Amino acid sequence: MPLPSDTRSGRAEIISIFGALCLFLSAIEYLIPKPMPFFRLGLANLPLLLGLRFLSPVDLLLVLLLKVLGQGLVNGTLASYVFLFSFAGSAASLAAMSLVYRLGRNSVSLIGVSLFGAMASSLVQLVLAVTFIFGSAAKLMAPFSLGSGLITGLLVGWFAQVFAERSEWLAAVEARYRDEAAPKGGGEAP
Amino acid sequence: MRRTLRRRRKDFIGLHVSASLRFWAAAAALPPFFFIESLVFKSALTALFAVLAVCAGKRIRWGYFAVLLFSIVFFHLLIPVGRVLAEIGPLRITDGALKSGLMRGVTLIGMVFLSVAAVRPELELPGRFGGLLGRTFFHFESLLEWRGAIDRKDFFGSLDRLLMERLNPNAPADRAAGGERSGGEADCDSADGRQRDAGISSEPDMRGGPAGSGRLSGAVRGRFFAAAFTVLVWGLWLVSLWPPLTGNG
Amino acid sequence: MRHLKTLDYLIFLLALSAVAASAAWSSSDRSGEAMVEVEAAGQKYVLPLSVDTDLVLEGPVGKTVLEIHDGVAAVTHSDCRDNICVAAGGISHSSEWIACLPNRVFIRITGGKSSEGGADAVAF
Repeated sequence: MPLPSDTRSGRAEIISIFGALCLFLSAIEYLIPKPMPFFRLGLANLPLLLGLRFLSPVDLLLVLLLKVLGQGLVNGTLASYVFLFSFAGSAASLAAMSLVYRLGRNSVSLIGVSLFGAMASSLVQLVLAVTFIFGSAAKLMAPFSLGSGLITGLLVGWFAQVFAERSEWLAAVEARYRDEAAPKGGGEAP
Repeated sequence: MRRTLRRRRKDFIGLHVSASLRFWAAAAALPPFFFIESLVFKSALTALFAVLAVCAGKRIRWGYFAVLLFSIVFFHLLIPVGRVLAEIGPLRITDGALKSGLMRGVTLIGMVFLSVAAVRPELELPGRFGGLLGRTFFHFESLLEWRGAIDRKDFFGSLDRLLMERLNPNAPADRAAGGERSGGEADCDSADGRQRDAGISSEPDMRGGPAGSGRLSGAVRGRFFAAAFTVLVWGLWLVSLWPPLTGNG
Repeated sequence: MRHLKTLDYLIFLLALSAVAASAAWSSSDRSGEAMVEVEAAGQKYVLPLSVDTDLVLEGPVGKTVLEIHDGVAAVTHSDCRDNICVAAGGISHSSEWIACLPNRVFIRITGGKSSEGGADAVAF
């Protein structure tokens, strides 16, 4: 079931709502002053973290695509290396987060999951930056890049943990999503 | 605040060229831009792309790109290649490293300018995924409309209330009849936020697509502009291959 | 923190060691790469030994051609009479040098491994 057949179905609606939340949070993020020019908090990853608990892998991937393509369209960077960087970083992060979340089920919190994802994302982006932008001398930046990944990973994970525990909205969305998936056995898509 | 005082900018390109046409024209111009090996030609094209981005109503943050270019050149200089032009302490500035750093920086920045000039939120992606993205933008706009509800002191509480009110999939579907896509406003505000990252922000006050009146002639003019642009970039690449130019370049 | 669980601490340690490893990696082998340094008629050139290049140097006598190929730097042609520099063959280790005195060209290798460790590499 690659895509929901009806873009207004409950499942599709929830996916697009998660995508919209990614875009909204990245808009909010840039109202916060940055300590360094290339520093990024990565608030836009919050919905992916929140979705890990109940969204299917396919749907998580769809949220990821909506996030990076949406950002590319809004910023206009879709046809440039910025898009590739953001796609590679987000994909690495999602893969790492899914892995550790599935393996660690009850022995890991969203803080650890987020940290692991942020480190994966920083590592991939560092490798890309060294190969495509700055050249091998940019390995001087490695500790800064990974160090900022560590800090932002912890912060965003903490936000996600707090939000997941308190949010009424998330509980409502999760209930609705499980409702959609359970009785029909996921038979809505072709 | 600077943002509120800033003059609204118009997307002049959007008056003539549709969102998809300008995207494909830029995509067609990208390969020759990459192929050009002359720093002068590439810089000239990057300047042209910057002008186009400004014409598209985007505000380019020159400082950001200056820092980017400087750091790219700096990291290239750390590995000396070629003739030593100057020595600043332990740093030897070599012509080869300087040239390859400038080349890399100009290429990347030119690509961003071109992309920013060409990509509009109204750009339709095909298929069901395109529809899903349309819904995403619809919800995004409705969130942005109410972003004033976000309280800095109680960020998550206020966000939760906003989401409960605006994006609750269990709520009666009174708002669900909204359009599939209307990127204009979304771009307007989100731009202020998100585009800072790429050093770009914009406040376009237009709707996507060519102007409604005189539609036919407008469409023809748009195609002419797009074709002329693509031919220009390919032509510049061919000219840059001319031996007398490559010899000293 | 009441949220934190065992795997969280493990991931934190992993992340911390990744940062530490990257710091060690970035500060280590700064002068690791072997470079070919050339002085010719007042001009200086620096070239990485690992990248194949040809360089034509102009001196008072004429041209001296330096070729870097497969990690070996050698003078393949020189307009000077005795051609000692061409006869000197290739150099590939730190502090090895080639000079072409009539044409005032001096070529040496800095950084990288010194020749004591692997003399067999230039055994030909």
